Amino acid sequence: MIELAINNVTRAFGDDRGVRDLSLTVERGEFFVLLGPSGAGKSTLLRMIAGLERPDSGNIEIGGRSIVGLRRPDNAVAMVFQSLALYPHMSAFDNIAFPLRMMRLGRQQIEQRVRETAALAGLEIDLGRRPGQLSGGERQRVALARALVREPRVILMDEPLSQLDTQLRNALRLELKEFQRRTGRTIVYVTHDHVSAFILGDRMAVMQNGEVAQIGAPTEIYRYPANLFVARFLGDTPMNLVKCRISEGRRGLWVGEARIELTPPGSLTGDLMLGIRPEDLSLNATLGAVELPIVVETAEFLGARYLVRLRLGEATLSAEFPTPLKPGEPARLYAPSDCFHFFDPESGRRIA
Amino acid sequence: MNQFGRLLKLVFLCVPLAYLASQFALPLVSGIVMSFAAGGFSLANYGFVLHDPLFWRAWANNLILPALSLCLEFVLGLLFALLLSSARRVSIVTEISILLPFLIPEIVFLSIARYILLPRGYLNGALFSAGFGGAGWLNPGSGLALASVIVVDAWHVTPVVTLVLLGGLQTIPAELYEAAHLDGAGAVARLRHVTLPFLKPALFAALLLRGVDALRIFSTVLVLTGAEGTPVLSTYAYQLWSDALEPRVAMAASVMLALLITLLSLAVLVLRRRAGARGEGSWEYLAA
Amino acid sequence: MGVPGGVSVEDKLLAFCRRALSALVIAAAAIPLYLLIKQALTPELESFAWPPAWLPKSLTLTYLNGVIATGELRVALMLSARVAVAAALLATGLGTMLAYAMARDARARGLGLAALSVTRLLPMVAAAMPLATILIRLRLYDTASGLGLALVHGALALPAAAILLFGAFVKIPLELEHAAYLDGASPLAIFLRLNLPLVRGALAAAFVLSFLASWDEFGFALLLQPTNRTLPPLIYYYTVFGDAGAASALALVSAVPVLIALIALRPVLLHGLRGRAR
Repeated sequence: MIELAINNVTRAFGDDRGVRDLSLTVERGEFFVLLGPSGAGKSTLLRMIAGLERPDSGNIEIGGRSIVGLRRPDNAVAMVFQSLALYPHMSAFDNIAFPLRMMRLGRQQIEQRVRETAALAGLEIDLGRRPGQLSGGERQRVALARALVREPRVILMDEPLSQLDTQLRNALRLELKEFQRRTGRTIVYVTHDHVSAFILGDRMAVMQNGEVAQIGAPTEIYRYPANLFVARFLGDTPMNLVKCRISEGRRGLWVGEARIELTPPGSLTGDLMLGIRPEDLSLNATLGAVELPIVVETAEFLGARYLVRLRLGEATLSAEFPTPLKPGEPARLYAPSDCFHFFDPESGRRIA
Repeated sequence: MNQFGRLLKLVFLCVPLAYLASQFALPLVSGIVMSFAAGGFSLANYGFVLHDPLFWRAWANNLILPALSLCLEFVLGLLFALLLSSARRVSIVTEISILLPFLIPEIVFLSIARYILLPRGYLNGALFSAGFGGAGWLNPGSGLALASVIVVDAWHVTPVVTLVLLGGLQTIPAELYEAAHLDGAGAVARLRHVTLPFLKPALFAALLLRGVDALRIFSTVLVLTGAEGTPVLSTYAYQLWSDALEPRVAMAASVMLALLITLLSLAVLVLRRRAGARGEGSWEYLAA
Repeated sequence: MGVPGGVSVEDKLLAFCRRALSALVIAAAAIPLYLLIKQALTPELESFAWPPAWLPKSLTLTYLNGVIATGELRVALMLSARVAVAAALLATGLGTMLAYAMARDARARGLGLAALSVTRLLPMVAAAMPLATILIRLRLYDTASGLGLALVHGALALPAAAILLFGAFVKIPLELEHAAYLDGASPLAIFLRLNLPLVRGALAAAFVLSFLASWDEFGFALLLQPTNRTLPPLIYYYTVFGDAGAASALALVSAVPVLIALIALRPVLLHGLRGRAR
């Protein structure tokens, strides 16, 4: 069942930031991540869903009702801001109670709902304390509780974990995912960090220049990036992308003067971009693996692994191995034939 | 966020501005109308003023007095600001002392200044005790009275100049002084090549702020020497209004003063732009 | 400018100048304050002796008692207080509104700053004399309540109050307002329940400064309340036409609350002055 529908939304700013003719849908109970570099338009989109920004054209529906142009926000959305935006002069209790007070609920009702929501958000503190007296994690939970308390259909999150240190961020991220699974809330989460997107998202949209580059489950997007941008943007060590050529005269796939023994899928010919993820390169030949003739350039010690730079024809590749390879030596690497990605060098689109 | 609350902000903007207009713009406009009225539209009020020798004395004083007073208070203000910012630790006594003359209500300060400068006042008393003859510090029409007014005015408002310049000094990074010192610049060279260039915006801000007040000088003259002792345009207009009961002529004089202030302020603003002094701050200083 | 290490002749000279300046500054502040207190506490004969005594020979509370007991002075004191409270309420209230509009809207900021600056250019006489004519027509001229004067004092104090509050409002992150908006707060609720509590300190400072601005104001008070006088014109009349003891006692009474308030507000006035060594 569709909870949030964005139809052909456009919002232009003076510069290139903004959102262009964007459509997507989010199912009820889904954890949906908007991923993209800064300036991709993901925060603008989030603010339009929140009603803080008005689209130039297009429509946004929540639970089947359009929210564009409402004079006041209805209870359909709540938001957790990057800075959390807790009211510094109010206690944790008053922060969480604020949306209910604005709804003019009775005192007892407010008291009850605040307590319930605080417990739901994992708050086990004295609610009389102010944001300044709380730890980073507690503040996070207060902000979550404030967003939850009105029981909105959709909760929007604008990188709320970005200002925490790594350990706490990892812990809270897991907790948030667990919380969402347990309660079945619909969450739209903005981030520029693909790790967060992978961990949190049921589905995600990768955004580029105000448009959706690809929508899908994290595994699907990782395995089958729709274009060069997505291929480069996801992954700890970016995908190796090299120019290659398939000509009718010479059999096989050519990277410069290096030949790869691979029968290209379909009837591809001409200049292409070839993509191989570093982790798909291996030293061991497995059944059906394709052999790559390479020369080792450098090997950097990273702790658990070595980052090795390799020359393949004219191009340089990166790969990670548990053991170092000697620089200057030719070697043989293998990659499964289904791990070769081909992109159109002009449009950047995935071909196979 | 702009789509809501626009009405509130409009009301919040318009009500105070309407109030300011009712207290300042409305009287000014009605005053300008008055100044051209002498049984119908006429320039007679301005003609009267321009033929009055007292007006010309007031006009001259209204230029000399602010100019000299500003010079004095800028020299002192710069010295005090450097003193405050260069000392490792500023004692609370010095700190309060620098501000005190301005913190004392103006009229209280002027009252005491008058008792000090009167012919049988504390200054002449101290001079007499030390074996010197006294002087007529406040003798109406004398150059000495003009000097007294200038000194008292500077004495009273130097704290304001000090504060503004101090704000400017605090924008100068300490590393610049250290670098200049290592480059072999002495104290004077550091002042000339580091401090003053950085201080330019604050200097212009203080000039605008204090210049306007100096041109409007009224109470200092009235309390120390009386309206006619060292006439300036404000006291000249006041006297026409309260003693001579010539409100329309008085308005003509004060309209000319308003014009003088506006033109000189514009000149300072233009000068500031020419000098390339950075910072948008001066409007704020002016308003504060 | 003292850099550790090199102590040149120039630096030594500088240290001497610094000490001399400090002495001058303290004298310039201490002498008027001392004489004010001395005159208020010594019999008039001493103030008019020749040469006038710098040190008090005998002390008296006659003048200070007189200030409190004399009807005229008490009336002036009350009028000054009433006018100053009304002016401070006006300046703070309307200044808050203007400051908020300026902090949240760029066009309002430009317009507001321009308007506030232009008010500074107006000479007192040019506003006060026609204002007197207008107030006479409105029956607000020289009233015992001082309402007409309070109105103009409020307008005089408004720019400084607005600038002070503007500085406080712009420090409030816009995200807080957005959060409150999404929490269902109306624009008025956002202003009253979110912004106002966050600028309490600035509100108090603006109120006190506006109060003092009115309490100290002389020119408009002289022109608009010629018989129902506030303190500053009364001090003026006593100084020029009356006796020194009473004038100084009155001046002292009017200066003390001001000095206490301003010295308490010193941090606001001096910003980050202390602790900045160079």
